[in-house]
Amino acid sequence: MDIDDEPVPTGRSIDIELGSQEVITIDLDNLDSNPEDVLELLRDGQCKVWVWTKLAGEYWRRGYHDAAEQIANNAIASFKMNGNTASLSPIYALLANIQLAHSRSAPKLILPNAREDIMTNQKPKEEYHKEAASLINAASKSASDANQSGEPAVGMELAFLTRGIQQLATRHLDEALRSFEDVLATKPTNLVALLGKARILYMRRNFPQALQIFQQVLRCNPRCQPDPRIGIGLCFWSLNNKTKAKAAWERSLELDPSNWTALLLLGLESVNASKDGHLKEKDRTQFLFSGTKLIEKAFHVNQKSASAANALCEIFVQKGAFKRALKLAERTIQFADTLTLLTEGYIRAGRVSHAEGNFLAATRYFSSATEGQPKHVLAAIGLAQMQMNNGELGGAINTLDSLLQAPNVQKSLEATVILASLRGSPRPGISSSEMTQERARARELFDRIVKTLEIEDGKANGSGLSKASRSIGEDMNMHLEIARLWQDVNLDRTTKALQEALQISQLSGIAEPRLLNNLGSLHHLDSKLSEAQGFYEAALTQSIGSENNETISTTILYNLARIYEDQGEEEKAKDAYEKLLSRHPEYVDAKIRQAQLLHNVNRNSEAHELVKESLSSQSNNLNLRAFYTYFLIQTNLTKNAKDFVFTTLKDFDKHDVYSLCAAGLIHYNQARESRDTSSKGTEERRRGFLRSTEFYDKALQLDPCCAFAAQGLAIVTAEDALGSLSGVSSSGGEEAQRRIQSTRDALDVFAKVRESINDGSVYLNMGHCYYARDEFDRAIESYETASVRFYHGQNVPALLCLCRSWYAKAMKDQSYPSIRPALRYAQTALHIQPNDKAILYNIAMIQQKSAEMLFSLPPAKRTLKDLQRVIDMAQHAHRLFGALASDKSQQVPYSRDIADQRRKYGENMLRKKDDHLAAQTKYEGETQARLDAARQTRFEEKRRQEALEKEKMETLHREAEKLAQERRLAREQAREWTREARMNESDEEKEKRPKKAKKVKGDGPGSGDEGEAPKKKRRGKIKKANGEPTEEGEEPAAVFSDEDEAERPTKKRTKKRVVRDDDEEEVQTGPQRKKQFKSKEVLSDTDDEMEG
Amino acid sequence: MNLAFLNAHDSSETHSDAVWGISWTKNDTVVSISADGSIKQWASSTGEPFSPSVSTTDYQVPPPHTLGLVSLSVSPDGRRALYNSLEGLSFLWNLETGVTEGTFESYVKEEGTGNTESSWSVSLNPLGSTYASAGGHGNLTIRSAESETFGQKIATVHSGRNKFGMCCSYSPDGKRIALSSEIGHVFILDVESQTFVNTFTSHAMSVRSVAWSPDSNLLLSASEDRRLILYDVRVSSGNSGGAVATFSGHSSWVLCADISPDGRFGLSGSADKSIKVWDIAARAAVSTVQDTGEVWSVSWRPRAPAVGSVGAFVSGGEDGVVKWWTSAGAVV
Repeated sequence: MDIDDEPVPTGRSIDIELGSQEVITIDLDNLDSNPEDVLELLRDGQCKVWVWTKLAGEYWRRGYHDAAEQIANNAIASFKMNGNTASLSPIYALLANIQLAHSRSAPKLILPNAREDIMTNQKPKEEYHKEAASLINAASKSASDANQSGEPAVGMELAFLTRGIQQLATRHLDEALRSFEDVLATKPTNLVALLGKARILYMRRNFPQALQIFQQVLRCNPRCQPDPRIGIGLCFWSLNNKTKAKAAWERSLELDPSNWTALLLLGLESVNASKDGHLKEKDRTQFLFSGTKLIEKAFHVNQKSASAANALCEIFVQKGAFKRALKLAERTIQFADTLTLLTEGYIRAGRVSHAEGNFLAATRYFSSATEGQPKHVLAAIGLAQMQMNNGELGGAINTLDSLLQAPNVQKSLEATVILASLRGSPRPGISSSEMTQERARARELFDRIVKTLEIEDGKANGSGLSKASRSIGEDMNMHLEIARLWQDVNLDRTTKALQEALQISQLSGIAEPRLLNNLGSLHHLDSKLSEAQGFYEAALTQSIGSENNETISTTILYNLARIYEDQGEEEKAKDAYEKLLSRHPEYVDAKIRQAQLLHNVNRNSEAHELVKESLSSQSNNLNLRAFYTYFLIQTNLTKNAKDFVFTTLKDFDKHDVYSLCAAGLIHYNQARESRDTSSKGTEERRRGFLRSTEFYDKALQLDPCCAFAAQGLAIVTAEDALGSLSGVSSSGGEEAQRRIQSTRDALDVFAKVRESINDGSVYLNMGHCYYARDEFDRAIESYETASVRFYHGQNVPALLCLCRSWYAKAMKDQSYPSIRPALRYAQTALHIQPNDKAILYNIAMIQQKSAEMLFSLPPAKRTLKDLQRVIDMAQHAHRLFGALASDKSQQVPYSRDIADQRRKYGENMLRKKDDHLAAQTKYEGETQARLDAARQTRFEEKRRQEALEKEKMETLHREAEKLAQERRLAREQAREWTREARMNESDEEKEKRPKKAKKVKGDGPGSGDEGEAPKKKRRGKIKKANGEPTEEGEEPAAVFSDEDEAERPTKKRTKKRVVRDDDEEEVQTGPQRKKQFKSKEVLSDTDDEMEG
Repeated sequence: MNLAFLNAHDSSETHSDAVWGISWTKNDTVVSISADGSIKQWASSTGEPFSPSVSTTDYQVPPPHTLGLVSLSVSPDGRRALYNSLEGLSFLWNLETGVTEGTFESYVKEEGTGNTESSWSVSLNPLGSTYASAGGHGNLTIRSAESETFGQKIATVHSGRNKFGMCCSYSPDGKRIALSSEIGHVFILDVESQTFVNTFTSHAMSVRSVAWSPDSNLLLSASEDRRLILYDVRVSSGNSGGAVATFSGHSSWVLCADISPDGRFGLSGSADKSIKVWDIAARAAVSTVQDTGEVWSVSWRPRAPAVGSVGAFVSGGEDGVVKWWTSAGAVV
């Protein structure tokens, strides 16, 4: 909307007096386009200013701008000649207004490099504004001159209005408003001032007031130009009364069919209406069509209107008429008088350039757009897209970031999706740790998007999401991207995202087989085998006929085969791998699995062949090399494994973490198993440990989360490989101190490793540490976990560790009950692995030790039955040691000499068996006798008590009877009642007594003493009985050490003994409590008696 | 076809440790040996400890040995049980009189006895007064089963592989002895010629148990490789490993095997805590029974089943309980 004209003069003709009485009448409705005649007339006639202005105004109204300007200029010349400049102010005002009118159709900004809409030869708006300003100044100067010379002041309002209009055009709203208000102060119905004020109010979004003023204008002059209905319509539109708005514009158009503003507004309204998703397709097309027509028409009427150009441009962009669209966009840019419009122009120009493939231009346009409006979503997205296209991913992220970040956060899902995706993708020059952060940020952004969508979905009850949101929510690729981002962090989230993606994919009718496959894998990893199988099978079905069916189905079939393997269906797995290999003979993964299957059933030479075949075709496949390393280590081909690992590290990848760990392991084991005790050998050993440590270190540097390397280092620490194992000698006390410390350190690491390696080895290692710390209960607990949960009781070393721990515990606690599980585990191990004579030796050892231990215990702490049993065992052990000592095999895993010593020792020990049996028999006999005697005493005491009681009762009874007899005479009835009552009472008491007596019988007196004496006696023996195996580590501890008699008196021992005593007391709490309970029973009986 | 087997009853007492061997005798008793060192005889009908109908004899159960018992062989007439302990102490027990007729310390290697390795697995000769024993070094030794000379070595045949013998078993006709090893090889000894006539190499992991078909033609092996393999001992193994059929389905070591008296069904117990019945002709599992622990031993009832029934068997496992199972009829 523009204010276009001067106030409309009233008369339709004008009379000019020429010198004498001649009057020429100029018909204003019929002006000649050439003003020469009129000019002459005016000059000759020495006309008053108002005539000049009137005529000029009239020319202007007719569109003869140049003529009007000419008349005005001539008027100035003419008046100046006459020295009558003071009255020129209306002329200046007129000229100023003409300049302002020119400025309206002048470009605001001239693109120096416009391609279609070249305006370089045009005068920009600003120049016109400047001229207008200087003219206004001239006008006010002449007005003040006029004032001074006493001439009648031409209406101040003209000056104010002109200034106001100029201020409005240059967006000095406050000043403009003041100017208009000044006019209205004197002339409240000045339409121009009112329109100006209304416009300012509209621009300030004060719609209701603006509307009021527009309506006031309309009431004053229904034919007012410019049409206030346009303003009314705009106000209604902004007040969300679209029907009234439309009606206003339609009326305006009715009155003036060439009103381009009304045309444009109606056109836009129509185009907008066509976007309503609830309308029928036909209606929408209709709306779009008519809207387009209206906009086109508007543009034709006013080609210099940025708004019309902008609207039309969008239409051409949609149509794909890029050349015309670009011209219109450039027009919009050059003529836009608001920032919004300018930005839109830039964006459209950018879009067109983008579509044409002129990325440089597009980038420039989008940059200009974002410079003007940094928070414009489309501009930012456009620029980001260009930056992506130019490979400036960092720039794109920056652009979107500044759009989405404070201040003034823009909520644009589209931009957020792009930003998240950008952040989540790798880009050059970014470190891995930065990438991790970026991925975390991307996840955060996606989370926000999903949440927003959920909220929107919740809000839009029933009507569903908006089209844009829906298309984001249903973007399968976005969900895939989310899934990918969570892959390394949280598989649950990955599964969730993939399931979303799958749902979307299913909506389209065909589930994407790759998606199904991935979901299968995720369930597979989660050990949900049957679900995984379901997904794989579905994927396989869906993959039939898909575009790269062959590759997809191969992968899926492989996965399916892995499921079969994990479900124990080896035959099916084997078939699947064979099928795969018949199709793709070079598919080494399948071949590796075949080898693994063979290895599982110990067919190692065949497995070996397969791996070698694979290696010959893909010698640089690191996975394959890793498997071969594993295979060689598993099949005890350590030498080959070592060579192979070093080849891998040397020739293929010196940063291969798997190979580094394997190298660490091999070095460690080699050094550890070295039996060379010469100084050279010790040095060699130390070097081996050192190298092992270095390899593990390297692996950890490359992958700080490598649990295997951490575990390897923890073993080094636990076994003090660089210290005592390397032959660094230290005093006993120091060593023990260090062992406690290093095992503690190692345990800390194992506890962490346990989180990530789901494997028995960690628990075994923890068991070893606890064992080394003499914490046998904890050792047993760890070994149990390893053996039961991970090895299903089939792992002989684990069973032997359990045996050893129970044995050590039994020896430490001098506990016969603990030695039984030791024997049991040894037997279980031998049952599984009957050819291991070391276990048999251990069994004999445990049997002999059992007897030794019970022999050392006081009779009160053992039973004849147990004693008999251990004597049987020791006798059997004696035979076994004999057999072991005389074994003729070339190699035995124990010392025949020591076996023989054991045999002899057993013989000696067993000589005392009769003494022990006799002592035990005697003791148990005595105990029994004492028990019996005590029982007897107690029984007699009871009897005595009872007799006394009875006597007492009888006395009472007699007394009662006596009393009764005395009273019977007096009161027959009462006496009888009394007697009965007493009888009942005594009956009850009689019943009670015998019961008590019986209870007492079962208990022995003085049983509380049993605990003390024997304990003291035992202490002396403890030292001797403490056996400690020398072997450490995973190797099935071949033999229990025989060094137990050679006791090293160290500080540690004393400490240990104290601990042990504590333990003993703990063990004893069971039986003691029982005794307490018993004596309590006795006590309570006495109480009863006392009561009685 | 699917078969259902129901747990008819359990032994009224339990061994204090795992049952490592079991055998259903011709006289409808069941003999079980355990890791706790005890041997027990049970009445199949009730699950009660067996007591002879004629109570005149001083029938008694041998006291438990100090170590676990690992191998059991009952004569076809059900009158004598040969069993052996973890370290190689062999016993011969008369199941009717309760008399221990012989003990033999196979581990004693004194000069003159000729013993080199102690016995692990033992098997009575169904025809005569000898038994076979296997153990270290891959030897099969024929020993006397007479009470006076019990354990005396009669002959030793070397299998050719110096691997531990996990299981040996006489064929029902007494003509052959099968020997299985810790690396999965199965050797067939011709008793008369005292030569190994066949070697089957289909397994590469320990074979803990072998079982003969009643006609002595087929042999079923149970291996730690989770499979059972059926061999025809009349056919030379050649290069194929000699397998006639492979039975897969257990998810852990197969610990024991048996073949039904009619030769139709195989039976296996596994460390996967299940028992499976296999249709030998159809080469498929027809029944799976879930137990609570490792099933160390299984044995079919030797008496031919009634028409229409599949029969019954007994199992012993980690929980020390002897369990009787009967067919509930075929479900097709």
